[in-house]
Amino acid sequence: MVNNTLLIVGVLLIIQLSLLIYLYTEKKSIIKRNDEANSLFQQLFPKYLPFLTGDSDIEPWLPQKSKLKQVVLERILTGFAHVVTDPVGNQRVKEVAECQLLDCYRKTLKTGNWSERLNALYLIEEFMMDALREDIKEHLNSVETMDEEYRQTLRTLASFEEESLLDYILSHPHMSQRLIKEIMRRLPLNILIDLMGMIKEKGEETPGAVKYAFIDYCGEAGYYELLPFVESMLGDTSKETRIKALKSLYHYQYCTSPELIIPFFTSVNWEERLYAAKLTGEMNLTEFSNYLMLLAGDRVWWVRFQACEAIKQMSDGKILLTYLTERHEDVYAQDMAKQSLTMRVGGHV
Amino acid sequence: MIDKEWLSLLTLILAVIAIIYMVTVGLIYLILFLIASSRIKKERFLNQEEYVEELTSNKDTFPVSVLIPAYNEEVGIYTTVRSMLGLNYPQYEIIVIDDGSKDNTSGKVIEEFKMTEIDVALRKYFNTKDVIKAYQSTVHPNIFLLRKENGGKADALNAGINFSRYPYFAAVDGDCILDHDALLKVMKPIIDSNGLVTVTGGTVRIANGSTITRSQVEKIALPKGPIVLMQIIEYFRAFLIGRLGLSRLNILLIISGAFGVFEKKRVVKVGGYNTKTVGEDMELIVRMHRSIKEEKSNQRVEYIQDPVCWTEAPDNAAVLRSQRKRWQRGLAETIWLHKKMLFNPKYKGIGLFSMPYYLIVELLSAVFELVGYVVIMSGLLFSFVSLDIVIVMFIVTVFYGSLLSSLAVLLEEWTYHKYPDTKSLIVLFFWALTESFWYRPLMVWWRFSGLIQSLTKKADWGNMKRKGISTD
Repeated sequence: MVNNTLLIVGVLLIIQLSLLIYLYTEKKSIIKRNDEANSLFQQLFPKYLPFLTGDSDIEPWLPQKSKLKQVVLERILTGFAHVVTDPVGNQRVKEVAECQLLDCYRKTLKTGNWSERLNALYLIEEFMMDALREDIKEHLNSVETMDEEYRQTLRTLASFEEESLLDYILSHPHMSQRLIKEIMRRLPLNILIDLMGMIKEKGEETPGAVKYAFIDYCGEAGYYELLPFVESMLGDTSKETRIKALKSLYHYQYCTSPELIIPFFTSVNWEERLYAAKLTGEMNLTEFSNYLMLLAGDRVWWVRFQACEAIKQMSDGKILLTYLTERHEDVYAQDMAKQSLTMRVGGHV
Repeated sequence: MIDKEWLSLLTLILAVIAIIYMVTVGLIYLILFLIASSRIKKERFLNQEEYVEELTSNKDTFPVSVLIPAYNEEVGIYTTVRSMLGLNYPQYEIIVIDDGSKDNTSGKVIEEFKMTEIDVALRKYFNTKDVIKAYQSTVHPNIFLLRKENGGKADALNAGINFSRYPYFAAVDGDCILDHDALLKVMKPIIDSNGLVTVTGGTVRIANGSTITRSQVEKIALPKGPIVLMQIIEYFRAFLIGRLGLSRLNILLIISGAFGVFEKKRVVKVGGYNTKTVGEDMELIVRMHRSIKEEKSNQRVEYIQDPVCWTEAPDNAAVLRSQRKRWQRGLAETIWLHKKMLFNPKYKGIGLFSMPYYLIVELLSAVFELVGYVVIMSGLLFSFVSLDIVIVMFIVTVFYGSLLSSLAVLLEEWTYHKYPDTKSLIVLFFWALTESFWYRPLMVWWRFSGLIQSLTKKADWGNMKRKGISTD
């Protein structure tokens, strides 16, 4: 018994002591590495700036140790990429990154652990290293879990304006609307026009997520070329599609023919009434004020709230709201009008 | 003579039960550590800024209502609200709910944020004590203040939910400070999962000792007092081992009341916060799990190890005792309210593991450990039990406390590694080793008292006198 007890004591002591030594040495080396990287960054960033801005053709010296070189260069390029606005600067970042970091990222994508691969993907996108396009495509096929790595691989490819992604999203119905929109945000107008053509051609066979994401994104991006398509969706048989189209028009803050909105003021779906009210307020369609006055007494709280907010946006909004506070037959609508009158817009829906 | 033999046998049986219990608990913790550490290790070197960058400019990032219930928080409320203003998040509103404070909590908020009174057409998802007045900041239109009659924290949160306008809300204590990216990080799993994650909770850390200026954490350092130091280690263990481990199995029953994000639709569906319990944060999560399981939904409750909420910990024994008694009482009430779920296969992991775990390990451990201490002492005093058994029990106790605390320090270093020097690590490690000799027995006794209190229903709120954690 005593021997066993001593054995347990010994094992516990060794575990705890090893843990302490590991933590101490690891911490010490991390602090040392960080200090070294910080100091090099402070020295090299001012020297690298003229090279990145194109004022100098001489690339400054970089440390020999590959890991340290990678860390410092990543910090320099990220720091510069965050502030640079002109294409020349971006091109320079891309060139330097492709010259110095390409092999290292290629290797990381193949053999690195999860967080290393993900960090590499973030930076490949940030530095626009499209020389790695084929490697990323290959990587997409090898990603097994639909987690952040999968999403970032798609985002990175999209940032290279990869056209094959259109077929990919149309053939992967499991993808979320949100992810599809993240891809769309990175694609140029001509590819989006191609996508619109594909959606029209496929018709009902288009995955719902792609269609909804596209309609939604049209408004977010505000491309006039895609507006007729969005407006045509107002007459769709699917409620979800119509709501997306209304939402998209709300983001456009424009509609070629405001009469298209009228049927939605009396829709049986409260979401459609809500977006009709929002759109009216956003486009300042004073001719529809009467509809809004009616919606101020809607049975759904959100519609009432939005109707009053929309009235407030009108040039004579305050007069109309004051009228509502005194005359509306519904007491709750009166309260809502009072709220809209006293509450400032901001931080709300 | 017969009495002495009988007593000796009884003590031996109790000792064996206590040993088996503590070894089992130690093993459960070790398993949870292994589950948690694999996640922490995976994300150890992740570039956290890039990880959430997409959300900052994304129009699909759900807007969030930040609810701050406050009762007599005049010292810390301004700091808390100001820290919320610095959050990196595209769209959010801040709602301070003054729950009938007797001090100048409302006055402070009204004055600092230049608020004016507004009319409110309040929705009533839940009945609460009357809202007396509502205010909006003229400087930051997304800050609101509700002044209501006193009804307790749960009632204040329910009033905040009634007033809030966004589909998700964050409940944050009135004495806390959030890290700049905390809301983004805690919302990320909800957004990425397309709403499959219904609740997320972040890590709460103790601010005592750190330098917080103008509501921003500038330098992380350790406090000097051993009571706060031990709480720091205890929080690492509770969050990084306990909560992360259980969360990965989707059987987590606690999201800290100090900082959690909730899907409003689900909270409304289950009836909001329960105003009749002191552990309203845990009780709500259990009810949400119950609703999820009864609906056969695949929604999840997740703990995220990174988003950090800083809070002020009690720095004296009297306040700490009151806090722990209250926690114990809240735990007991929640388990009692949902006793139907205990060992009930209908609730899967929650009924078969989580609820029993919280009952036997978190709630009744005080009883088992107390028995252990009594056996050790009586064994030594009256020679009822052999010295070998006493030694084994002592080692098991050390194993249970110190090793797991040390492992928690390791996870902290892997997750945040924010202490700027090696000295802090050694200090934490040293105190982790001492836990079994003084802190744990104290906790056991206080938690045991809390358990008794929950049976006798004697309330001891012991409100903490705040010093404030930020300087201007």
